[in-house]
Amino acid sequence: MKAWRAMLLGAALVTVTAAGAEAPGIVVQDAALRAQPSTGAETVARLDRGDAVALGQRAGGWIAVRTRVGAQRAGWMRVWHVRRQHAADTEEGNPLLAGLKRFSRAVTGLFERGGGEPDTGNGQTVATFGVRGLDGGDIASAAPNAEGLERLAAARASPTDAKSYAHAEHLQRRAATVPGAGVSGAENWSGW
Amino acid sequence: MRGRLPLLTVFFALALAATGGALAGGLDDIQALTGDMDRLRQASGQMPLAEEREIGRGMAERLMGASPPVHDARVQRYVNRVGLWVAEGSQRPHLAWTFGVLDTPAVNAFAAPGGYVFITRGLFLLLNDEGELAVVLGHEIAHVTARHHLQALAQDARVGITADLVGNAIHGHLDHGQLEQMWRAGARLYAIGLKRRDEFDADRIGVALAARAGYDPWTFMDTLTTLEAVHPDAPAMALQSKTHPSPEERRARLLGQLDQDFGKGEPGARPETRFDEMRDRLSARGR
Repeated sequence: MKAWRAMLLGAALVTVTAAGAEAPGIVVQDAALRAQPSTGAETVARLDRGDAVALGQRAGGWIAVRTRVGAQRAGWMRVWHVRRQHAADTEEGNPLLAGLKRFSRAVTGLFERGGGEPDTGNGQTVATFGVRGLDGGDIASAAPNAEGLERLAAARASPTDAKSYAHAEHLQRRAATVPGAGVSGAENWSGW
Repeated sequence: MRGRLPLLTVFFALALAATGGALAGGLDDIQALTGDMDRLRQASGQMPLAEEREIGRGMAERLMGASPPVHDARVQRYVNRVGLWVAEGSQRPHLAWTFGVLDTPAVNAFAAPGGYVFITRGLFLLLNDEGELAVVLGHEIAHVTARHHLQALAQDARVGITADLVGNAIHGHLDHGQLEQMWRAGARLYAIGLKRRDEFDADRIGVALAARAGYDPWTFMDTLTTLEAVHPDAPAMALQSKTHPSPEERRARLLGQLDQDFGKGEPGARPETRFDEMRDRLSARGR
């Protein structure tokens, strides 16, 4: 009975999300599409990295997924097996995300190391981000910039600011245990 | 400042006791050394806030020197509001928390003692929503609340806080030149990175702080997926890759906590509207 209810709920979620709350996404790791948000659930299909999908509602670490090519299938995947795509992920707006948009085994040649040579290592093709970074030497040898820090100090928020901002976004404080951090005085504690 | 320096001296006296023992080949009394290290850790927790803040200020100014904050007051106010809302759920809600977006395409985030937290434009542009931003800021907030940098400064010989410097601290007060050495060592710490354990701890605390602030802690899985998609040797990613465990390892370590604490119930928020506006503003700067 429970299983049936769960299945109905799952089907309902996929239907609801299909009605409008879906977002385009892409599979970033070969993985199973499961009938329910559970590792023990039946495998509906096996999806490959690069497959285009529609992403729906989340349930914990699971997300409702519908395939966008071939036979239409719906089910659940772990959230890190897929990635959402944004309209803003254009070559101009964000070269890395544009690269992800084309993420596919068919275009592995597009993804190269920073130095330019193709990544032929373990087959885990990853996107290149070809701009120069900020390396440790830059920071270690940097002259202090007091003016920069003063500008940020001027942008500091008051607790009232932060609260009114959060309320405008309907953010609600909730209980969550903060784990300890070893020796440093952040032992288990719980406020709120 | 002068009146507070003796307490800082106590901190370094303990540091000397710990490092000096090791330098002198003090294998004869490992137990005592361990005891010193424990006291040292406690000392880092008891350092007066003014000293902690002073060390952090100098470190933050050097970060700003390498990469100035983005010239966009609206973006900086935004990240300060989100950041403070998250930090107020931490163990040290009343620090003078200062957040900022640094104007570099590098993909990274930094913290400095006393309540300084920075995210780069490059990392901000990779995030999908405010929930992801909240966890990234929460991770850095955790480094501050757990005093990870102070511990590394006192314990990690690679940053170059020498026994000489510590010795000087014991025999007098840290003068400006010595404070300057501390700041430089702090800046070197950004190139070396913190302990792997500290990074895993910061992940665990970061997701919990974001959840407390009402965000969906699972968003961090999206962030890790994105980081994984960038080649670790890519120039914009190299420092982040060098100083952090791999995204895959971080995900594996977090999964149990996320499934247990946040596997069921209300998922939490992932606000997008204002986040998207800021992302657009930052994206326009990079063209």
